[in-house]
Amino acid sequence: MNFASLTFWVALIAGFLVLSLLRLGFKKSPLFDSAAFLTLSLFLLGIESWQTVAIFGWVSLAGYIGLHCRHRWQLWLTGILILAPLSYYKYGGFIAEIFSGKRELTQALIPMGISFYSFQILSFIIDSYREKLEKPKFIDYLNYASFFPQIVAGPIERRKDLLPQVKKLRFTLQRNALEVGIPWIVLGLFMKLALAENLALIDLEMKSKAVNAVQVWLEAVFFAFRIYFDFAGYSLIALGLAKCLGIQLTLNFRSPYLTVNLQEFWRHWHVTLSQWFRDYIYFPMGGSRVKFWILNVLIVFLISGLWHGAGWNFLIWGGLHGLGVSLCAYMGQRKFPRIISWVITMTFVTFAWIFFKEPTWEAAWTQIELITNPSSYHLSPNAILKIFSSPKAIILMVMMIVLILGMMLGEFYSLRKGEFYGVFLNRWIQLIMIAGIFLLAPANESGFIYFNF
Amino acid sequence: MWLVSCCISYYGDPEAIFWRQVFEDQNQRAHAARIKADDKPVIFVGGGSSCSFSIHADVLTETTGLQAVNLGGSAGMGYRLLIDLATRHAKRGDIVILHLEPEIFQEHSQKISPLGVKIDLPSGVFHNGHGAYRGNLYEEPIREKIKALKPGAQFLGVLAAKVARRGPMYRYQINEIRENGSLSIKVAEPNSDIEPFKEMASWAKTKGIQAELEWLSQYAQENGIQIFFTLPWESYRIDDIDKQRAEHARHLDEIAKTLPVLRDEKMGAIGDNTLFLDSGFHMTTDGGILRSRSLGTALNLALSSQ
Repeated sequence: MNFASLTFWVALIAGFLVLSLLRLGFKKSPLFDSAAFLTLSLFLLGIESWQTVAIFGWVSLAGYIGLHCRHRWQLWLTGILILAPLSYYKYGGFIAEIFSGKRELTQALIPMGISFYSFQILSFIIDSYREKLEKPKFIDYLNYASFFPQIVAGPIERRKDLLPQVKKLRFTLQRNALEVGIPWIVLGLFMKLALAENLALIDLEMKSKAVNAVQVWLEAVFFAFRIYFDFAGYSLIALGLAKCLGIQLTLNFRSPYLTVNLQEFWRHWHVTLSQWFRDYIYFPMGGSRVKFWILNVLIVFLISGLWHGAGWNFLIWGGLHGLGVSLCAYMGQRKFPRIISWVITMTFVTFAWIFFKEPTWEAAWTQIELITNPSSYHLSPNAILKIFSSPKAIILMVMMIVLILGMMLGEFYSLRKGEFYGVFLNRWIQLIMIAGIFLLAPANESGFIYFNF
Repeated sequence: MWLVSCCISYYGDPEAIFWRQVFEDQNQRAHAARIKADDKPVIFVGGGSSCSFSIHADVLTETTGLQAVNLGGSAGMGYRLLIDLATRHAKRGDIVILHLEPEIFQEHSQKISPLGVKIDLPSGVFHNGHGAYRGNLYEEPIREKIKALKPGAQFLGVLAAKVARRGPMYRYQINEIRENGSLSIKVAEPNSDIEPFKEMASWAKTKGIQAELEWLSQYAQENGIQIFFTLPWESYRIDDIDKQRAEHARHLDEIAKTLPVLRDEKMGAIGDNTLFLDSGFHMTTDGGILRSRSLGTALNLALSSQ
């Protein structure tokens, strides 16, 4: 379910039209509407592969059975059943590597969205058990679990937020809803196609093996923006699609690169995942009320690292953020000037991305060795030029820097107005972004980075 | 908006504009060679820019006694389009020499080439080739080919920079194509682009490439055309020459299992850098004459041994 591909949009429109025609024969019954949404969601998921649907079926069925839990041990058992496919596909290879040193033995392709819907379903049964909530209708539960705008890459929604809305879903498109939703889709597509895709190109245009520390920093900075525009772009398209259907999803990204400390950063980056870890791991461990709260923070971030990928590099990335957040919390009210705090925070975040973007921790370590060696910094124009494979790449880099600055400025003004990304919903800016999508998106597209998680 | 972006990409790409002009020119030469040849076979040599620079049709004609046409393009077009262009004019009895850079057999070249689609539009998008790849030029849906027409930020940025600079829009000009079909340019500095040693024996062994070679062999049999494969001459470090020639020989051995190959004593590796212009693939006039003569001799040998 790649929102950036034409196949998705053709399948969505075709599926919607066919089901809308069928709806006429069913006298617009609410049950038909629910069934139609479920069909559409599973159809769009099934386009990827039937295995994806089968695994989703397993996880969602396990979740529904879990709604009947009366004892804590039953809840744990259900949790294990829900997480079993995720553990096998995502962590099987990593565990095998730890014990046998050979990863490829159990290396399997991770089914799309498994980390997201497994967590969403898990939160559903935990909330239902904790708050003793009534069992929803099976079809409403399935629509909650499979709602197509957010099934493959979030936001990870909660029962209290999404279930009441999917219960009221009607298989129609309202003009008002479209007017609200489409601008978010345009913004998301612009972020993904015009920005993230071109930033991916810059990475390809740089020398494969860095010898200049400047290259390592450049790669890390461009990766930082690439992953942001990629994931935030996806989340905004999901948000817009849901709005078109009259559903409110959580704004998963809230201008994270304008934050001035790491705690704030994690309240603005992948918001629903941070909230999930807070509510289901951090708080149950005692949160900040226990003596060793720093340990709690570290555990949460190490798990977050592993959630993002099965590898030592992700673990280090998570650990670094855990330490950073703990340090920020420890320092508390001690404040630097805003600009200095921002520079420190962004430098730290960019540095940590090095571990995230490299395929192994050894590769990341080579990069760290380079940037910590002062003699590896070659700042002459000639040395900088040598980083790139052609002058064309430098032109692209300059264009991207201008666009990134433009986006950050827009985010800054939106924030000052008290509305995340509000400036980009302006009609004229929307027209510019539509032109940008057609003119700036490169011919070769890559998938969304977060699909791998 | 989509149409505008496609038009900018199609009409605004200086590289595509240049090669479209070259192909018009080549079509005329092919037509003229056919008339001159009377009933005798015509030699068509196709390949990437190494072919455009190195093949002198007049030298080849002089060496073989047959009319020859240089149908060279640019490796960026993808090997399928280059082969299709090389075989488009061939009729029963004709000879086609594929003078292809080994690199374009690497996997990335198998994908749709935006330059190729732009050059061959509308044929590349809708008709799927006219020569050996009639019917399956890219084996991709039309929407994928149309997607290849997207301009992209890099293209627009470079175009804007060229317009601002007010210099030539592309590094080669149509008036640099000589009567014999070869491309010749003036360079300020001698070539410094010396290829590093390349291990390539495995490139032609991939399933995809094997299938392509078999397809070509079958096409040649069905149409009564002789298709030969040969390696362009490239500039290598003197120390690497022997090793590289041995590697080239292995590459050709692999291809020879399916298609006849033309070998010469240089085996595609040249240690004299003065024979090259702006890249280690682009030969000077002297280099081109040597290469064309050597190719003609190899062809004579292959034909006489049949």
